[in-house]
Amino acid sequence: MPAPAPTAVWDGLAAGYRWQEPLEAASLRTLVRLALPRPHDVTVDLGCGPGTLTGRLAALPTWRRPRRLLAVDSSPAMLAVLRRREVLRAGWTAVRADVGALPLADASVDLVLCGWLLHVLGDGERHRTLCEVSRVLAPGGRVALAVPGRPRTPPGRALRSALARATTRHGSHALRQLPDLTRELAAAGLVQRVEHHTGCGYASRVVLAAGPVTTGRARSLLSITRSARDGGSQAAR
Amino acid sequence: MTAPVLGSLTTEPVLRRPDLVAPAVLGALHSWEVDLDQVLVAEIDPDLADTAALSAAHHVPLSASANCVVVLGRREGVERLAGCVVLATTRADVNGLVKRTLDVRKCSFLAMDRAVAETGMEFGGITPVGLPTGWRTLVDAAVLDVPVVVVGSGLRRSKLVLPGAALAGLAGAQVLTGLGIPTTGA
Repeated sequence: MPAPAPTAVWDGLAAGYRWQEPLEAASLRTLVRLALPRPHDVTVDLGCGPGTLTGRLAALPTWRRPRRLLAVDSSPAMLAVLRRREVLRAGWTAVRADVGALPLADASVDLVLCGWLLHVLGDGERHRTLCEVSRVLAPGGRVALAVPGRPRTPPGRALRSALARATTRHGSHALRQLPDLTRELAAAGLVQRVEHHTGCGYASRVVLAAGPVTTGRARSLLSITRSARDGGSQAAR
Repeated sequence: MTAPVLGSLTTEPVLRRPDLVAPAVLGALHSWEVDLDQVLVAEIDPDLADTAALSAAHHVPLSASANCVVVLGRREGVERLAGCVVLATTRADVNGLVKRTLDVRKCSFLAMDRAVAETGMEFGGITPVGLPTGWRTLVDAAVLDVPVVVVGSGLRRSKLVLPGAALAGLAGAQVLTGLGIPTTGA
């Protein structure tokens, strides 16, 4: 097992996560605007946590709200908060699963939304997760991601260093930037299309990437991701 | 769904190519009650962004091309701005119907530099999708009858390809019969 699953840390943070949701608001709003969800998009909220993004999606007008959504997180405490908040619409489900080993069939999803998840994963786990996203995306599918960006204002920088100090003892990666994200996406067969930056609250980088198109390429990826996934599920158990 | 073919334009769903539209357009797509599967985008040579050039190079009939012209009128010192969407085979009736609709004494085309600055769109790519708040959007009824129409994307390097009828669903759009006056020859 490479690194201990961070579930315990996240379980401990679940009850108090609410205080920082306003800091994620601007980036998640941008994420949804870039993702442009359609009602018939089978959607995954990857690393849903206490339902910060799920709640935002639930509030969308019907012509923008996916009818089928799966919220996935590895922390039972986070999922418990999400359920208490009653953000799950009819046809929506929340499940506990390792984000690097999704309980979904190949090419079964149109849209993956991933808010503030990737930066807390280790390098190997992040690659596994991106490969999983690529595997579950149907042809024509897309993924929208929000990750920490470079703070451009003094309050933004102060916020980042305060949070870095507070979280280092947990061994987590608060507001860690991912300078190679575009390349990491490409390594998983995902093509970055557009990147927006937000500076309000946590400075963020919001990316929309398109999933694999050609079946040949998808197939070669599958063989890689299958072995990665098997390793991932063992680590989770 | 099979993508509609228009001339030699290669289209993709705008959902997968948000990089091909101006930010203002992307914002409007989110709040526009439209079937996004029908909103396509075609990457083009920026030098072919003007209607006549696009039509010649990509065999897009002018009757399937819509222009968005920006007009300015004043009433009691207050500016009234509007985007007028007309087919490329017509010209907007600026001094007639537009003037009456905006309820202004005088009406003229907005200067290029102002149009670009205020819309956040590139000249040659100005589109009714995502015009600034407070602007009127006037759409010629004839545009709505075109099954697949080419309009700007906010950028010179691409065009939106969509059902004309979708334009009626733009926030605040007003459909006017006779907004475009047919031009003789093109």
